[in-house]
Amino acid sequence: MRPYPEEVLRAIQAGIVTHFAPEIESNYGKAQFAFSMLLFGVIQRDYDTAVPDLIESNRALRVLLADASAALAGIAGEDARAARDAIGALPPVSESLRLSALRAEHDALREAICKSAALIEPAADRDDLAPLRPARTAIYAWLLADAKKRVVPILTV
Amino acid sequence: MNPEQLAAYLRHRMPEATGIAVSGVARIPGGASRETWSFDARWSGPQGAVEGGFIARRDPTASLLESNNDLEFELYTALTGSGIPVPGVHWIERDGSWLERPFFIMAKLPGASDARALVTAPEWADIRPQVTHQKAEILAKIHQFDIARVPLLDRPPSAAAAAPYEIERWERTMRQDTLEPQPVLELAFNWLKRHLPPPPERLALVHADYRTGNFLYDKTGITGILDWEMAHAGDPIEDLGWLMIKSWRWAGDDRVGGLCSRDEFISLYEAAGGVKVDPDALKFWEVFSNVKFAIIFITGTKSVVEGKTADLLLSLTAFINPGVEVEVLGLIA
Repeated sequence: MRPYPEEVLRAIQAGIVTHFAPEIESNYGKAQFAFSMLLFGVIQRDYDTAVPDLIESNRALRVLLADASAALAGIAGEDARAARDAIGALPPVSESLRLSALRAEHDALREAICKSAALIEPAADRDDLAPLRPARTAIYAWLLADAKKRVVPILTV
Repeated sequence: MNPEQLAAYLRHRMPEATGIAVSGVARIPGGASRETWSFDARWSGPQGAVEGGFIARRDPTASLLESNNDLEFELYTALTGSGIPVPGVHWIERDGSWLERPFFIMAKLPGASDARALVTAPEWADIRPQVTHQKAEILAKIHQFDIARVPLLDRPPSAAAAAPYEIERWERTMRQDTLEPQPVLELAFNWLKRHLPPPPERLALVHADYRTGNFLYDKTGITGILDWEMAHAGDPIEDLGWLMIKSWRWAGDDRVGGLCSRDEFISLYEAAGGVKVDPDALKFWEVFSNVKFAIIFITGTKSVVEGKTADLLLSLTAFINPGVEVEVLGLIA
């Protein structure tokens, strides 16, 4: 039903600007007000696409981690085995479309990268980790693209 | 914080003073690690009438980082008269009953701190070259300061341990405070551990937040160096790495701190008596500084989510981190 939540947020923002902003006298209060307006903008930005964005991110991360796991199979040592085990223990694809479920899946996938970081990061210049290089390149590229997507331009110099 | 509370405290500190009056109490925006309040006060004492501006730095309910009032007070005291411009400090109060939380009071220095105005506004164009020189010269002086004069200064066990000590400190903070996995920072910590810089010749005073925006300036140049709450003993190049990160390039181009090129700043710093800057060490500290910057905001995010603060700045700073991650990946890929 209307108004949708994002429309309510815009209405709250407009109400605050109209009714409260003129009453603020201190510089500190004005600064807090400006921060709140920026935050309204930030939370509304990805409101509509949050679910499909997470589904796509989770799908892409699973592909990256599967490739990394395959590459790890060609690397000797306990660290490589532990990293493979961590990837192998990932939860299944979320059947729920709730944000909470998709976020939990997303966090598990990112955590798997964290657990493999000690092998992925040095793969660029360590010959014993050479099989991981393509996976490393792909993971770095995904992390970079993901970070760029989340950048809030007004907060970046 | 109100005038009555401050006046009561001044009466407590100066029982011999008469006619104590406090006015113009206002919280200064920013100060994400400690509340900063400005006020004017006047009184009559044994030395005659006193009138001036003051700053109260009060512990926050929650902040972007844990810091130590006593250290900051001790530093300001030790640095007075050193040639490093800092405000004179008056009183430190650990009893939270006066102003709700512990605080210290110092003199208010003249000048503005707005970084973007300094580097972009036409009215400040004529002092930018002077500020650039002073910024480098003062940093060299900070690094020459005798750390033995600041006993509270946190320090690694040896100069060789300077970089690992800082890595450990911030990795521990990240693990304590993060509410979600941080793959970019995990990769960065691995990179840092594999690219440790050569140890400094000796441990130096590191300001640890030295940048355009953390000093006051007026038409005479830099009037005061502020925000020492992260100061510690360590590798002096740490300060150069910090001041060079992209987040402080306020002019929107490659100029460090919005003021000059990287090479120019290093030349000015070395010419002023600073240590010789090793390029690999500088890159290490620049990566480290971006990582530290991101972790400071992770701590702020935790405070917000746990409901420990109503400061909206701490909510907003969380959204700076994607840009920092882009920068980190560009440096370590």
